[in-house]
Amino acid sequence: MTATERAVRIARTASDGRRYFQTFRVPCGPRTTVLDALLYIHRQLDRTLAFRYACRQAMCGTCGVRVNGVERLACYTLLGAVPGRVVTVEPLRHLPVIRDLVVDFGPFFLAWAAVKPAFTPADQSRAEPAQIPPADPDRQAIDRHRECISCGLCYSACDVVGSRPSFPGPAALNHALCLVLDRRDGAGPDRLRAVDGPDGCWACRGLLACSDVCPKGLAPSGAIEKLKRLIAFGRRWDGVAV
Amino acid sequence: MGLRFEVRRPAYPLSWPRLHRAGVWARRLQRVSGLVLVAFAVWHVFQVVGAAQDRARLAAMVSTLYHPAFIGLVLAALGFHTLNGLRTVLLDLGLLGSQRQVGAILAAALGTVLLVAAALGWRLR
Repeated sequence: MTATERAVRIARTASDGRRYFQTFRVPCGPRTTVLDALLYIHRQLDRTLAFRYACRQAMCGTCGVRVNGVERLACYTLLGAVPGRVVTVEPLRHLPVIRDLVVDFGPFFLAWAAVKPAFTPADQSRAEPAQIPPADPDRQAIDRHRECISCGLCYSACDVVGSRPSFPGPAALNHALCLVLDRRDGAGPDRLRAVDGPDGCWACRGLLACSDVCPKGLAPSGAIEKLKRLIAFGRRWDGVAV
Repeated sequence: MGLRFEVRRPAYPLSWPRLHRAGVWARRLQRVSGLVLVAFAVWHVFQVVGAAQDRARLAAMVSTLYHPAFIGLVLAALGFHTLNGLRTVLLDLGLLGSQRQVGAILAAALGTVLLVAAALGWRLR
């Protein structure tokens, strides 16, 4: 192997469903990403490798994988920056593997259903959409938790999801908080009741792994803590009108 | 009216993350230190009950309590469990933002090291 090559070890799926690892040698430049490596393998070495990608700029959240055990977007992880002799690429945890690095996001989005994810207008009679000005404290409270791209990295990183499949996961609870904090939404109390309980936000152990891996710099663990405070102490605790 | 764009610091550096899963390790250490403290409390109760009837056992217990390794182990468990517990209480109450948690975990670990070092320095002086 030359100095500009790296060994990339990829989790593969055999036709009988058996999982195994296959190692490839991939050229590594200063700007080569893990996604570039996967594309090189697919185009030059093995056309059967299955993986997902779309935007290549950490916007769509499609290319989430585990790189050396850390949930990352493949398009935004430099191959040369990954420590260790071998770069191991695996599919996300807690989701059924369809093939190689492709997982079924069904359980992830089903978990969203548990938190009543649809916006419910508080005032059904309005002709125009209600607005919250950017400088409004309520809006700024929401801003800290929006921009989730549903990449599933936090769902994979969360150990609670692994031990308690009924837990909705960090992304769903973060989305629930965004709607709870939105004064235009009329289902806040129902949503808080939906996330209350041992399988809701109280199952979170504050491991912070979700915040570690979020590609948009959000803090789902902070959102979950805020949901707990809203349930336990009411709307006044954080100075946010629910 | 012009468009307003929010400029955020780069939240997702291309470089490899440091201190990954610090919260997970803090949780594990919290459990281990809690078990150490429970074991110490149970041991201590049995030792005190036994020492009430036997002066030799009292001397043995005091000798064990003053052993540097014992002091280090118990104070490491006590220090980390207390400081990390305080961190989680502050997190729960919203008084310490989740973005500062890694720093808080490091502070808890550093405080534990300082506590153990001070105790051992006192014991071995």
